[in-house]
Amino acid sequence: MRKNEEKIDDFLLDRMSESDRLAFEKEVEKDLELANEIKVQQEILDGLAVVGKEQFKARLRRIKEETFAEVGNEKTMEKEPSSWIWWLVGLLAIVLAAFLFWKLSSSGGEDPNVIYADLFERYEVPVVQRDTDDQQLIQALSTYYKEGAYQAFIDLHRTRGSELQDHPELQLSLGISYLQINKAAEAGEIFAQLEQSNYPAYHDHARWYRILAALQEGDVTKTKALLPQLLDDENADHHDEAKELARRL
Amino acid sequence: MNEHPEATLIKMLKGEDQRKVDEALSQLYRQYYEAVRQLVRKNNGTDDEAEDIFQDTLLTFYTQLKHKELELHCSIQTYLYSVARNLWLDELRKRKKKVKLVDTNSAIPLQEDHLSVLLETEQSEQMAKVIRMLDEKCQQVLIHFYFDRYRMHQIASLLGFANEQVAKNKKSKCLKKLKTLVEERRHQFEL
Repeated sequence: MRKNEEKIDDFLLDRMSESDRLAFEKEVEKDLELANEIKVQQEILDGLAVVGKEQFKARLRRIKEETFAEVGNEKTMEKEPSSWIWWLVGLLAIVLAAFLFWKLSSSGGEDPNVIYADLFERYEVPVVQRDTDDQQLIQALSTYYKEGAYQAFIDLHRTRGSELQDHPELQLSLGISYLQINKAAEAGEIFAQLEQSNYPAYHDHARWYRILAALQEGDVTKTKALLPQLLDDENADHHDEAKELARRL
Repeated sequence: MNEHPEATLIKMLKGEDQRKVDEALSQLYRQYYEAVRQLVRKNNGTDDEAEDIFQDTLLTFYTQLKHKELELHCSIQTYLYSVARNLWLDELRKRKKKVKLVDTNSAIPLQEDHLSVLLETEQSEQMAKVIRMLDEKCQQVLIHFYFDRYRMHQIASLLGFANEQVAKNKKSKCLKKLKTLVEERRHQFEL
């Protein structure tokens, strides 16, 4: 009996070797009573999981309270700053506010971060499947991008991107992924390369996201310098967005 | 050579020492709770809901490590954030809210079975009611064995049994007792 119990435990807890498991499954097929015993024990395991989870969560609540009580204590134990420091902080805040006010009113523009947040839209790029490409790799890259797993997309593209044929759409996704994780300089380089590529259909997109990369960096001069190409061509992709950006800068 | 901090943390979580498991969970709270809180708050959630999601996230991580020998191909941060993100997306879908999330971190796609640990059926809830009828010691023996996946020698030292054999006997008795209770209550609880 005990032997059966141990075997069932090993089976249900996935502690059997492949050969033992196959042999045991054959045994179960022939023995109705054993099959029923396994069924009941599996139900018990499911019930124990419910109780186990409750207890685990109670334990987590206690751990959280202790953890953040410690953090709170550490904070209150830090030396209180002297009052003159508060005066200094206040003074600096006033100077900073005055500087920002002067900067905004003299340039006449809005905060680049605000404009970026308003104008940035993720471009959904359908990946063109090619016969010679590794379909799984293409699928993985598409899924990462679609799911917003930008770092994973970048890592996979960096390590295995060279195995693929030219995919301007993936290059655009790569640049946008860098933008999403706030690596504007890297994004800018990718878009600049795409602008020089043999895929004219992507040139306007590349220029627009290169502009956004400059904006994310807070470089208004560079942003303005990149704009004319899209502003001058009424038929260019992103012409309207470029116009709005120029108005707000 | 020094071990990578994440490898140490995983070793602590998978280990036998309860204090070290607690210490590891505390570290996870310190390092990753805030990112999950931000994610939930930025997507129509409250602090309490963030707390629930983080608990389920840690529970998933813990059981995956214990039950499925989880092998991470990304950082702990990315894994936890991805689990939390999926859980919160599910919650928003249940409420039929807009499901495009504002992300505060990067995430990876997860296999569906990663979150299966959180599924509970009516039948398992009913079985839990019967389990709660057992005495405290029996509940602990069975939970440590079947949920925490501790080995008998660990259970013996944790619960103060003289040796591994005594723990083994106790577990057998408790399981038998539970099966009897289940049979008795089968009709009552529609098990």
